[in-house]
Amino acid sequence: MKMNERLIVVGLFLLIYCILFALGLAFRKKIYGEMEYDERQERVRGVAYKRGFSVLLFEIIVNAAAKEMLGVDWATPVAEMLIFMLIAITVVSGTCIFQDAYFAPFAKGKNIVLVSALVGAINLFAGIKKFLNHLSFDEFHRFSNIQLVLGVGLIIVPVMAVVHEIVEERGGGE
Amino acid sequence: MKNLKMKSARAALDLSQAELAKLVGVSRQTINAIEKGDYNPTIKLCIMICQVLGKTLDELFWEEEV
Repeated sequence: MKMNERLIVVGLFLLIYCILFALGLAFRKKIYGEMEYDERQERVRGVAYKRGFSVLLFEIIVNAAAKEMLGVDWATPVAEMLIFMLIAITVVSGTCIFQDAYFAPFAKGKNIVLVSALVGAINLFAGIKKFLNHLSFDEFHRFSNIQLVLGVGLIIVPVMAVVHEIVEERGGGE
Repeated sequence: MKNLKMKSARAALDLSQAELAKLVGVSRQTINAIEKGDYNPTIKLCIMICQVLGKTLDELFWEEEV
């Protein structure tokens, strides 16, 4: 693919993303309901963001040190960035999920879990398909296999939510 | 420390945690955390809970010194 064609494809993807993002914002309330969180949830989310940010900083520092001192080059920069962001997002989500701060009091939680599970499943499916075609473990952390890594990561979040819901239901509210 | 006063006031009105949460406008887990003593609510939330349960702040949230 030529440079110009690549730019057009990237531009189209960005345009589609912007349109979907705008639609999501416009219909957010209809899809998810009221998204205001109560005071305890906001406090937990603050803690979660702090943890996520700390984890991201830690990953960047360790990665930079490993690269500079040991010369370890384990992934392409884009793959590194996406994997670090994924880990940080998983930490934020996990903290919110296990402290019951992920759904607003009147939000439709099932929709959010379904969307993240769907996105995760699509990435996982595409990733596995690509990986099976290449069958190369040497290139596992390269950008070409990022869908597989993202798929696994994105599936973890809805799985955590479902596990937590099951545990909650067994404990039961009074 | 568990807030048994709030729990009994809620039970006296025959309200579940979910029902009280809906009336106050918070999540059920928040009511659960307050009753279990895992979360200290702000004065604003305390007042809302008191209004719904028909009690005063002293009756629900004041700890007697032992």
